[in-house]
Amino acid sequence: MMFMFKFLENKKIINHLVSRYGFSKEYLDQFLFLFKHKSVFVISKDKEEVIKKILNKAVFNAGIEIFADKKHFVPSSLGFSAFCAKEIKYNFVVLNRDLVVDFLKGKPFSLEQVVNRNILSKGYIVCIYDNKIVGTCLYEDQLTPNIAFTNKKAK
Amino acid sequence: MTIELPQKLFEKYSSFLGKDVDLFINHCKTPYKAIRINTLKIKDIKEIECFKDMNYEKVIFLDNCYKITSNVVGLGNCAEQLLGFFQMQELSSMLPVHVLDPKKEDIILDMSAAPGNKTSFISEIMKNQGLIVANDIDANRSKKLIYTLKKNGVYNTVVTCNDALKLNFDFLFDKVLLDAPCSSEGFFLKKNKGIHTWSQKIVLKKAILQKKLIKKGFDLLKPNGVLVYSTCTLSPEENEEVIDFLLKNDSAVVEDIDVRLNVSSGLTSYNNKKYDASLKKAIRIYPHKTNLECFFVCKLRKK
Repeated sequence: MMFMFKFLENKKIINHLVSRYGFSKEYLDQFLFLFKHKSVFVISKDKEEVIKKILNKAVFNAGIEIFADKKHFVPSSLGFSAFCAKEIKYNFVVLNRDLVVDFLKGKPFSLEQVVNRNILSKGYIVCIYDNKIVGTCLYEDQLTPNIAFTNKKAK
Repeated sequence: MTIELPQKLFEKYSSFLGKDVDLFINHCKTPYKAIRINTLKIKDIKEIECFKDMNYEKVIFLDNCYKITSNVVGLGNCAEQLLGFFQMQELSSMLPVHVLDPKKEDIILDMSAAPGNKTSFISEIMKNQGLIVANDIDANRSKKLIYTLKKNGVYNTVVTCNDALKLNFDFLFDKVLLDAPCSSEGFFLKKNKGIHTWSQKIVLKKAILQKKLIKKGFDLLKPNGVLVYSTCTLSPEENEEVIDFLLKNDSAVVEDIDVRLNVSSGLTSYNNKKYDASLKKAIRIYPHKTNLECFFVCKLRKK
């Protein structure tokens, strides 16, 4: 089934990004927020008028998906990696390279294994490696990588 | 390992390579892997852990590109590759983007974009600003394109999945990249696999499509806009003849290409046919002269 991309009333999404992860509103201002079915996307704001013209037609993808489920704020790991790590003030963990490899394989890990952390509450947490966002994981009893495509051969 | 060309292809190559044809065949398989640092995520190759124990050399004619000279297996499974810190890509296939010379303020159409390596390279140069419309006719290939863009952190791109001949927009583009579907001679020669499936019939069939595509791409271009046409094939029917067709039917001019490589000029005649003299400004990339994979690139401007 084909869903059209539409411009999103972005207040709720921006409030979530600001309150959950500490993004500054100024940083988020460079993006246009779009939605398609349950997903939320961001696209560079530069050519807003042209983007509006294209979105009148059926397009396959626009910008990068940041939430796979806008109702429950389920992040899209790869999409989040487009954001700047410096913008994340809380609800993050810092991984070493070995943990990044495990993350890519989809292996859960514990809080004791991470290099650094600043967690305010359970839920989706940003994973940072080498000052870059590498994805997100779900923090409950342990940290479970939130990735659609795992790679068992990751090294 | 020696590559055995179909007789007709050998004769075709001999007609424009002359006595160099054997040298050419022996150089088709490049002895290294090439990578491009994704500057949307990384500034320097030294930041990438998996290259710390490898030998590599910087490519002089392209920024942020390296030849990996160590014998490496499974580079595609390195964590940093899976995270989009770098992209494995053939060097000659990066040249069309270099020639396109994207700017931050441009609106660019990539007509045949999957799997997305060139699109993400364009976005990198534009620093995720401006706008790219990346199109591919095939839905599965378009999914691969979206994955590549997502992995590389590209967010200035809209992906469409249409027959490029039916593309229709309410605006025109500053630049168009047509990396045309082709008979893929260069790919087969590099892999030393599948070249036996080559036939002149396929070449001529592709050439018909390529002429329609270049005409369509040119129609979508603003006045003074730039279209870069490329293929990974060396058959003149799919290259110079396609450009010659456009020059005869549209207000296009061929522009010089500035690249620090020992490239060869486009052909101005082949098989008793004369092409426009300006086609000598197009470039042919021969492995024995450049140590790169076969490629053809031409830069055109709309008058």
